[in-house]
Amino acid sequence: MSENNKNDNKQNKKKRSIWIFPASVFALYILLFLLDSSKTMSALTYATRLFVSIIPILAVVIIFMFLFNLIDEKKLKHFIDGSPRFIQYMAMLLLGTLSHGPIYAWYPLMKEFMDKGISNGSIAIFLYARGIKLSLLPMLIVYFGFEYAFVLTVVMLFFSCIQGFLVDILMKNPPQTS
Amino acid sequence: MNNKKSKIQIFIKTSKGFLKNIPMMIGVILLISLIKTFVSFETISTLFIGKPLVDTALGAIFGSILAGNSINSYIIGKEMLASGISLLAVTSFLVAWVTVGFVQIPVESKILGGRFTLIRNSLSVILSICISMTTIWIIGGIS
Repeated sequence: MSENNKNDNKQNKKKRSIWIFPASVFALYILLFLLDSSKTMSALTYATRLFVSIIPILAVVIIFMFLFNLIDEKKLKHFIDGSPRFIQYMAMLLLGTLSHGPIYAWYPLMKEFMDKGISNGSIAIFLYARGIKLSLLPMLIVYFGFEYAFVLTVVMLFFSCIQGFLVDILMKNPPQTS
Repeated sequence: MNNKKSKIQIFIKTSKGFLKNIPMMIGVILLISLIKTFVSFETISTLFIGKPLVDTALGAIFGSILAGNSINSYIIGKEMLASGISLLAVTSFLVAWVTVGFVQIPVESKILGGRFTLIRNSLSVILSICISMTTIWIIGGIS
């Protein structure tokens, strides 16, 4: 009974902590509204537009998470354990490069990956490779030239793998995730 | 029939798990919008001091703090170049902008864990400087 109460308390605490960050930002908005109402309102308008623009990305992420949850966990674990780390890195590098939208929209899917045994380094590779914006490459070329854009993209791909490797080394003994 | 039912249950479970993160994401969006509205990007370029290595580190720090659409970073980067800031500093700024997210740290640590977030973001800041140096070194070699 007391164990159940402890778990309930823990869950309630966790639920409440989710609201601390947005509530703090909201408090900041109220404070800034008192100082400069017009700028704060334009920030709020921008935030609304930003949120609406990422709704399609969020829908894609939910679908990905759903499809990932359909995979048999035991089979997946067996596959991950059996496949070389290099293959994981390359797969996540490709997925990260092709992914769209803001980074925070992808965190829940990455959490699913983590929980199913995909290495921390592979997740770091996905998140780092997201910095390579293939759709914006023409824009980068227009602003900084082809040579610069090409070299920067290739170097970023290479360093994505280095980051994954380093994260895996540094997270050798990751703490238990609740 | 059972299979269909279990798929629906999995979908509901997935959606519930995902929706839990929405308040945190809204917090990040609100914070990004505040930074974009209140921080004048033109004044950022005045903070660089003209020493390549220090400017490269500053570029990485500013790129880590600021967030938003990458197109904005290209525009600011171009302005920085025009005002005489080195390509080395501009590159670390561009790379940090897309790979590091100080604004997103509360959400990232909540979902992916504090230790992972700290290690990933710290490495990303350091690597943005390494990427900048490597890129400029290769371009220097080509031209």
